[in-house]
Amino acid sequence: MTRYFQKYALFLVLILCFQGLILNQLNISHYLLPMIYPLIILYQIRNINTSLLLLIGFFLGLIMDLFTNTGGAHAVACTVIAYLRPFFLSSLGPADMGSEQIKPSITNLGLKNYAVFLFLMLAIHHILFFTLEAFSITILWSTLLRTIMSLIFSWTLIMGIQYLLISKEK
Amino acid sequence: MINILAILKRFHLQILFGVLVFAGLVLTIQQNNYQRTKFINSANAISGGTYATIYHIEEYFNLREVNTELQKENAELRSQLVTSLKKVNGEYFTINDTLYNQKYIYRVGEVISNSYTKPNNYITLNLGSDDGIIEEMGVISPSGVVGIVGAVSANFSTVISFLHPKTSISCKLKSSGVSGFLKWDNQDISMAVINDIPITTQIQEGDSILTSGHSSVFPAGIFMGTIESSESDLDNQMQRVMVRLNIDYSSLNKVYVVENLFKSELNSLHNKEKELDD
Repeated sequence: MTRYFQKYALFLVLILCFQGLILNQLNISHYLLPMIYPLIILYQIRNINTSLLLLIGFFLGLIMDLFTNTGGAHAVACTVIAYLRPFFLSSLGPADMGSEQIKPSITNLGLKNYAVFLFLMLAIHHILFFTLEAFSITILWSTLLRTIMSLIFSWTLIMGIQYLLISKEK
Repeated sequence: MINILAILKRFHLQILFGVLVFAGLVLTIQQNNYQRTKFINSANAISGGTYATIYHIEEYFNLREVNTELQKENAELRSQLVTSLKKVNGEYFTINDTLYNQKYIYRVGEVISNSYTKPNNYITLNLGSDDGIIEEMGVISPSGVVGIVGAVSANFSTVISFLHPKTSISCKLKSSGVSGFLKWDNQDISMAVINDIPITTQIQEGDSILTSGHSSVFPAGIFMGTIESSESDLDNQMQRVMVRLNIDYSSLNKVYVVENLFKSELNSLHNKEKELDD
């Protein structure tokens, strides 16, 4: 358990550094803010206590909010995906239904299922976050474009990271 | 009692979820004044007393936000200065005016002919329609407003200089925020006037004049000059303010052509206004 915790802490720090030091500093376009840190919530053993995951999500989002001056937009988006994760996982279902300790990944869910799962979770997260960030109807199209562009980028990045994790698992 | 405990046990997840989301929403609303107004407007059950209390707390939160906004603007201005010295012709860059949610494209151009001694002055730039210039774009330099594009050919464009009786620019006093139209005084190339400041406004000599951003041509906050003197016109209940311009029109070199990407949207709204008036 300690070993698992150490590994998880390392993973968390790496992802947060990548997000905070590289992705948040990109400034390529107004319409692009890729986010990979939701992976910290998504890449988590299947039978984790949902209350614990909710708290992890909330405080993870709060840390992001502190650094990006977004109030509680990240916190809300993360709490919601942490809450919805079990429903999505049960409806998609892992390939190996027997083990409850597995984490959702390409190997465990299958490429197609994982891609869909990731896309839906990220879409909910991004829509919530960018809407709360903008919170105005007048810039609806700008927000929508920002959401879609960022979503595509985030999804691609996390799928890439998942492939890296596969090669490590083998 | 047992029932309540049972309900709590049964719905503890939903309750925790609700509490966390609520906390997150409160934080989001506190962060941003604009967002708070939206929330209060759409949920008007919140009483005015709470509104006032939150506002007082909010002011402190805003201090930090205002500071970061100022820091961002400083950084953008610095990058503009550097770029004005180093960028080659034809390249352009964009900045976001975060306060107004307007997006401007700045193209760097060179003044290839400049008049400043005539009653009607024009400037010619080495940028034309091939570079994306169209009529009625604003032209600024690092030290102030230069003029408005009047005519465009393929490779060149003519700018109606600020030193032209027809040019008037929407400006505001920095201290009071009162706005009026800044015009050349038609004689001295370093002097301009604002004729329509209300008589009730306190005028301080040395106060800065900034562009107001009310028109769709120039971004807000460009420093134009300082107030030199003022005189009251009691008949019209107006004050006439003399402004010493910051920019030296006799030595224009590199300038920026400003494109407002929201201009057509703003113009269509203004047209609607006119229709409503008719």
